[in-house]
Amino acid sequence: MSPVRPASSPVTASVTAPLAATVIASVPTPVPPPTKAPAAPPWPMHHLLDTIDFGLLVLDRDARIVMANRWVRERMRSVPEPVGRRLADVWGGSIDPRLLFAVRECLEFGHSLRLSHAFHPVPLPLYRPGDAGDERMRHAVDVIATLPPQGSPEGAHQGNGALQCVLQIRDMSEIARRERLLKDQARQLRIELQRATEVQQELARQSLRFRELARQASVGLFETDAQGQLSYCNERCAQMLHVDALAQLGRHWLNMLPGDDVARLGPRWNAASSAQVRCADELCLGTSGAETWLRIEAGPILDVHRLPAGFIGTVTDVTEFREHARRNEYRANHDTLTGLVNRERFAERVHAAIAEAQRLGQRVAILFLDLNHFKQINDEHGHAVGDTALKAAAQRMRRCLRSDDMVARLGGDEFAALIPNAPEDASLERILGKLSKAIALPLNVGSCCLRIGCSVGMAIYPDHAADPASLLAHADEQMYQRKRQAHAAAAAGAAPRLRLVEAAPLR
Amino acid sequence: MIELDDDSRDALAEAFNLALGEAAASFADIVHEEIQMTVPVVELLPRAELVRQLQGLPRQGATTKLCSIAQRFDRQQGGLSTEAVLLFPEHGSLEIVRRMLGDCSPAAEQISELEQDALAEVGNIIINSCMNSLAHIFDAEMIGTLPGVRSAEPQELFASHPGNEMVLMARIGMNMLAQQISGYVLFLMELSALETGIERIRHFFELDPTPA
Repeated sequence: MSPVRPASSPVTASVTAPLAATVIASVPTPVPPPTKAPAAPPWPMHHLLDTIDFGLLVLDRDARIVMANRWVRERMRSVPEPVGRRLADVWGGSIDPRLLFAVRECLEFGHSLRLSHAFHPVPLPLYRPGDAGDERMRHAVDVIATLPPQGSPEGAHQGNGALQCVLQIRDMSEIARRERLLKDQARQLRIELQRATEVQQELARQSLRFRELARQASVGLFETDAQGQLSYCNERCAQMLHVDALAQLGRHWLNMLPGDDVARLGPRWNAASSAQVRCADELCLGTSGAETWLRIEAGPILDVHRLPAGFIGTVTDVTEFREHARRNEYRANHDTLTGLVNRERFAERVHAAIAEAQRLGQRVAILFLDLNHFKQINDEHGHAVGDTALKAAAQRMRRCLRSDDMVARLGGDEFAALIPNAPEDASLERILGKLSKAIALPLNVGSCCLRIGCSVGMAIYPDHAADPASLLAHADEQMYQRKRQAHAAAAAGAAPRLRLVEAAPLR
Repeated sequence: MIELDDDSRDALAEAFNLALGEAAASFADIVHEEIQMTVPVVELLPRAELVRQLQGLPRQGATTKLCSIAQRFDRQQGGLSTEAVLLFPEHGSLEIVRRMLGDCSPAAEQISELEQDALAEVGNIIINSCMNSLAHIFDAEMIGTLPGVRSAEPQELFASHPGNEMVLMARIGMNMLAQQISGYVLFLMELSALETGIERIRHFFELDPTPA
């Protein structure tokens, strides 16, 4: 944008003050009366106009070109000599009509007009020097009304007071290119800003979602920085660990745990956090009978550069899970009716006992015990009574043995006992007798009184076999031998050593 | 100190009313929209007071800046020097020119160089059209300068002039109803030109010359 000049200033005066200088023009300064105009420079001053970097065309009151500077001439193509001709004579109909109108308004009314580049990008057929293409150079034209100085040759020629029209032509290619670039950049920035805003909104939504999920989560959640200082802890976590979440923020997360657990977990945590691996442990809170088992896991968070940014931890109440596991394990190893260990568990223990005995040079005794005529009890008194008899036999066997010994129900009415570090044979025979007598004690079952006998066989490691299966088979075989002997004795009328089955109503 | 008698004041008001009406009509032509005009105000006042009045004009948008398109007109024989100023709130002026350029992108805060030139042309057309009327009323050939565009706070618009300088101000408001953009046309005449101006206007309306 050119600064606004007094309309009556001589054109040559503008040579020293470039017209296309500042963006924002100042308000026009008062115009000195033209009566004291300086002496006009002679036309030979035209050579100065040839040095300026914008186009100048001077039109007389008849709209004939009286001067065209070099800038214009260099950008005209194959047109007749302009001086002495009207614009339309030089360029024909390829001029923007608005320019012709402006020239007329200028010369008739003394108005100066600006033809902006935005509305009239190429008012004249001008081309960039050296450009062979057909595309017109982008330019803007200011149409300036002016009076030739009094006494000047052109003033004398046209008559004093006759208006002149000066066309000032500015090359707008660079400005237009720059503005287009700026607009493109602005558009791109707007798109990126829009994207950034959307991402920001999505992050805010995700953050809100996470907070809400964390708030409603059934597990405790906490977050720490890379040094383990607590930066977030959800309500559930604080509730489970019985701490005030806000008070814990900024402190090391291990401070949320009881002292004993900190001492236990501290070194493990330090090792895990240094190695950037997960760390997990279970700890028990509360007193016996009302204890809560919590599983705490913490794993590293890595940033985009795969560097540790902190840790995310979870706290899960595993009390119920542990109880289930304990029950399942018990069921897997025990006979649910008698509470004795089952065959599989017994075999494992025998195996372990043999290994131990082997190492220490000890003996292991395996007893095999079968209730006599148990089927008959079941048939006559029902399964409930049979079950009672089995439970009673189990309890009596346990009572007859040491706490280190193990009694197992192998199935049906078959029981077995493991006696590690077994004493000498005589003592073992005493144990067998004690067992038989204990089991044969009367048993009150509702309105009945039962007496149950049993047959017992025994095998000794290392005397009879060296592996659990063979030992058990040996004991089993011995048990059957004794049972057969007892039956034979009963049949021969001898008093059975082990009497069995007597069911009599209890009064 | 010049004081205006009622006849002269009425004549001035009528003259500027005619000229400013032309400006508004020309503006309506350019934007192809109905323009509502306010009653013209004509008064003698110091420039400082003029600035105060401009500060009190209703504003739009966040900025208080005004965009001014100013042209100066002088009679060849001297006297009658007049300054015509078209004022729009900065945001409104951007809206006008971008609508005319068919630029649908969201308006940037700053007016670009090409937009400023375009705005100068729009103001130029409006101002020249009413200056035609005024020159006719003055019965004088008024030679005008190119339009100068400025975007500034109201108090900065006339900062180069002494605040106590008296001027004759004729002002009319123009509202683009659809866009809710309000603009103003001001004619400012210095006192040295006022006497001749009043004489010419009285003559135009066939009133008696001002009593000596």
